[in-house]
Amino acid sequence: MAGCGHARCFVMSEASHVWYVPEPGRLVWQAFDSYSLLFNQRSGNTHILDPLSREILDLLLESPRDEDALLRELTALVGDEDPEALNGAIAEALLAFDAAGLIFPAYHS
Amino acid sequence: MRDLNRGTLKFKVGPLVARIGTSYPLLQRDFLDIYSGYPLAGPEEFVHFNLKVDPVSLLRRWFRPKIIADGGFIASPFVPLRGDLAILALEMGLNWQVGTRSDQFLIFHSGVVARDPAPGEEGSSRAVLMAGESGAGKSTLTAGLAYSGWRLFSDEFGLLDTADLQLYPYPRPVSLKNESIDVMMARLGEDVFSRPFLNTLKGTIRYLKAPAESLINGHKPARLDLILFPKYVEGSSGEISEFTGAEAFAMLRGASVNCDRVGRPAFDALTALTERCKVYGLQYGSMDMAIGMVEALMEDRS
Repeated sequence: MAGCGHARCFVMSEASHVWYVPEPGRLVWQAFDSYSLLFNQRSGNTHILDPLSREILDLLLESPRDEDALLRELTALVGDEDPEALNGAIAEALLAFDAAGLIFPAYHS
Repeated sequence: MRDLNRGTLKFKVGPLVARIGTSYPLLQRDFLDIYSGYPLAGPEEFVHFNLKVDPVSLLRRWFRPKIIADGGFIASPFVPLRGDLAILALEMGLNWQVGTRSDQFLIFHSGVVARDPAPGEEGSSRAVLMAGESGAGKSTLTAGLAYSGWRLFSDEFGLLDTADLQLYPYPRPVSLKNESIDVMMARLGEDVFSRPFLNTLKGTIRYLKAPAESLINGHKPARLDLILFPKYVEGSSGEISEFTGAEAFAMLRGASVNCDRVGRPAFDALTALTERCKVYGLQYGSMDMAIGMVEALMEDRS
């Protein structure tokens, strides 16, 4: 979200969103090979997650994090060979999770 | 015929009871032609679907007849059909009701046949579910298998009980179109077919009657063992490709009509089936080839 001039809205700019997973107890998991199947009982939707997406959601399940924190954690995990690609993958996953209602920005809580 | 006229004819197909009514004589004749031999439901039995199929107006009963199915829909999902295609209106009405009002089952848009144990042999019946896009040849293959020693469950719907993962039969007549009619008529002769319904939106349609044994055993469920995505390709020498894991899950989920409405039990059932069943894409070039391939795949599962 772009800043609108109010101090509070600048705090809520896209980069600084802290994301969390609401009602994690309503997520049902199954693993097939390296992919994870996720049934969200809140929406009734099923999602198929690749290993990186699963890792990102696991980190958010562990505790709310913003994009920078996710990048730091994942860099430690997979290395820093291509930080731009990793950053892009995180942004894409967060966008998809948000659209699917799997994560909320913390200011909505 | 009188019950049909009054709208009180209750007949059973597998676990589902439908109450049907029509005052249109041509439809009465077509209905009794393809549904003779189906068991009637008793007066105390629960009716799952009510369907009336009649002319849209008194004028359209006699002048350029137009027929429409009425299943108690608030807004009818159907368009009126020509009088000579009235049985199609009835079949579409039944299909719609199964697809939208049978959430006690996880429904797959698929053909299903099963192999019963030989007389005196122990064990349960084992089913093959054949899913895939319309026109891929699953109805034709279902029909071929149903008249080659397999029990017809359905050419349209796989009804899965999510509690025990058993498939329930729903052996309505098989809807065959265009070239598929010639293929099956060459194998079976004309007696087991309805009259042809010409110039429909899908070309020519004929209904293949369900084999008598499928109606006699129409209440017996089967364990799902094999899931196929068949595709008829002219000149193909036969090809089998296996799907596993998340890909198999996604394909199976894509074949389900109502998994979103069924919710968690559907997810659990789909994951259990993905773990338990073999899932294959099957490309075939002739009916005999396809039957042989299905027989061999089922044999491998034994």
